[in-house]
Amino acid sequence: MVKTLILLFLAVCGWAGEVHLDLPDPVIPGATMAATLRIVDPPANPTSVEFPTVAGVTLALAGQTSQNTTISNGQRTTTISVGLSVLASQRGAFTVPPITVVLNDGSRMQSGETRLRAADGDARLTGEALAEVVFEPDRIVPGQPTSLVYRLYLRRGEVSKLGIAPPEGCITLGERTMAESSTVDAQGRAWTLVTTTWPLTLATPGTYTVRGQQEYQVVVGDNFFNQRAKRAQVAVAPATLTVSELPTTGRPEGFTGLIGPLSARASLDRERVSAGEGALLSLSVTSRQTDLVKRPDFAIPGVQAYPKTDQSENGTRTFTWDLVPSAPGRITIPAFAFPFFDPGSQTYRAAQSDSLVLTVIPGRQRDLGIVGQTASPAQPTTPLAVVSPSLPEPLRGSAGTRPADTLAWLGLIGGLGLGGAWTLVGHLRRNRRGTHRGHSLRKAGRDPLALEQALRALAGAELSAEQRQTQQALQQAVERHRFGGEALPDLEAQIRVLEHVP
Amino acid sequence: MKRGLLLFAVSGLLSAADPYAAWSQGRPDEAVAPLIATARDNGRWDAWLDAGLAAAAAGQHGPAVASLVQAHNLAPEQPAPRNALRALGVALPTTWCERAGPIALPGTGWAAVAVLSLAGLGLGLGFGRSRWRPALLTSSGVLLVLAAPGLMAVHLDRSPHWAATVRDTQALDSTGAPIRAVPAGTLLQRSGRTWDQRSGVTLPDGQACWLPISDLMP
Repeated sequence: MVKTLILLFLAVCGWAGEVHLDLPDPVIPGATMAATLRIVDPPANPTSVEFPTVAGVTLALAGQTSQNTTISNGQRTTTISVGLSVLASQRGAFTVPPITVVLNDGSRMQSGETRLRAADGDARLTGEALAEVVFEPDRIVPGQPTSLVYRLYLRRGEVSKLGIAPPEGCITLGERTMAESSTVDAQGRAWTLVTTTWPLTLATPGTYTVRGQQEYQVVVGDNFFNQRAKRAQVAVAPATLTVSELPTTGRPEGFTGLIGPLSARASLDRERVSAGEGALLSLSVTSRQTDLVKRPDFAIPGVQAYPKTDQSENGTRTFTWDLVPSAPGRITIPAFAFPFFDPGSQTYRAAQSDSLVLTVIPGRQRDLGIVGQTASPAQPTTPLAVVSPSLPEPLRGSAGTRPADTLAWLGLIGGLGLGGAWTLVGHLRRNRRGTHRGHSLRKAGRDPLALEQALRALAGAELSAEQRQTQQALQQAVERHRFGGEALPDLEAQIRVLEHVP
Repeated sequence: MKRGLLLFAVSGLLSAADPYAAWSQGRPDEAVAPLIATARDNGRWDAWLDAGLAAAAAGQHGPAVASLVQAHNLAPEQPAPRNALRALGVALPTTWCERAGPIALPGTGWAAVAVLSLAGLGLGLGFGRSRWRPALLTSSGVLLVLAAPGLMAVHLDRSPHWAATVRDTQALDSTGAPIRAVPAGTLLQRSGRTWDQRSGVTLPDGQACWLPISDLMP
């Protein structure tokens, strides 16, 4: 009961293990080959494996069982690899039904159905390595997607750098993908196959060839002490892509070079509006070449269309218009057509949006019964101006001169210099004039020596008669104090007369 | 009769000399070349704007977009070139001057010259005179802060180095092999690199490539 609950809990939590059967492709008829049964995150330890019966194919336990635990992003994954042998008695395609793994808690896990191909091994696989490159498809028109597929077969060893690259001038249509698998040669020996795929296209007609040399390295030596890496090269069998001109017959007018697939969809944000109101028309075009999609001309009698800014994202270009109908009625917006070349059918086609209908009803009118004293009518509100992204009027040179940006910085520097110069001139003038003589007299206070010095400086100044008399009286008072021993009288009145002398 | 012929010749000469006359008479295609030549000579943004509008009226999408881009590059704070570009369907991103709005005004045009000159004067006086120093330095700082958004917005709006294709052309890779078609009037950014009469550009979808310099303006 408890075990059942635990299993139920694990199943609800999504912690369900998986079983995968990895078979060689192809299986050589009559040869016993190795296969692997991978048990990922089993809820209990496996105890036995039950193989289904397949006519012409024999599966059995063989080899060793290993366990590997990895922790990635905090998630622990345990993988138990069980070695199997597989033997096909005849050529052909087989379907291996689910293999059952019995766990020690009595529960069971099953793999999915697996395809098995029994055929002769690849006779081209001889030596140590084989490299080939192909375009799929190898004939396209400009803009049609194709894939550059690089297959590298290695008997042993590894590769650090790819020996080829997409042709110059190609337009990549997605990320490069790499896949690793195994195959067998005619003798039934296992080879590693690394397949690298570039989705791409080309814009210019011509013939493009991809070739190169693939370097790989193998470890030689039979023990730890004499092991060393040996580098070797193998020539890559070249591939040629033919990009042919787009056909001229049947090319529609207005074709801008768009290559399919392409779809167009038009929509209105509302299907009914009142006269005077606006509706938003959106036209979305999905293509790999959104930059080649041009805004179509749009003009319908009775409707003013104001185009808005295009938007382009995720391979879809969207054109929008503000539609303002001028009168009530039913307005049919015709379908928009975008001609393109369909590489599949090698013909020109057109992607069309649906035709839309906008119903414009008369503006709302309301009758009001007014009760009470009449008043002066309110001022009608000014209707909002419709802002349209129309082209402005030419200026004809009336814009006025625009100063260079450096002029503002020159103004800053000039102002700084002018202010500094102004200050400097002020300082120089003050220095040349000397100390303010009136202020010196005021600062001298009752110090006889300082007073004597200040009065001496006043002697050379231009003084009025009153100031001259005051200066002489003050001089005499100071001399009487210094040489006659008289006390200094109150000097405030005399200093006040002379303190403004510069 | 002679007077009539003379008047006809004089009017013809006047209309030939004034590209706006041909434009106003419904022949904008005749006005495009002289207006572009005038704009090249004087380098004024409004001249480039008029050249772009004339080209747009003449249906010359590539020269129209390229001239308006040049007008925008010369005066990013002016709304007319970018409005015209958007009316022509060019997806010009929102500029810093637009984002700043009226805050940018003291830092653009003649207002910037006046504001920065006053700020410089205040700084010069403030550093030199102890009297009024705090007031002078504070007012200069306020003026600099007022001008800063506009100055930065204009600088940032110039930095993408917008350009446009004047005619349908092919984007080239570094070996000179064509990569894809680039239609006339495509807005793109110059990377500043030139090589063998080609200029490095970034297309609207972010692809870096080379374009012949003769197919680009400015």
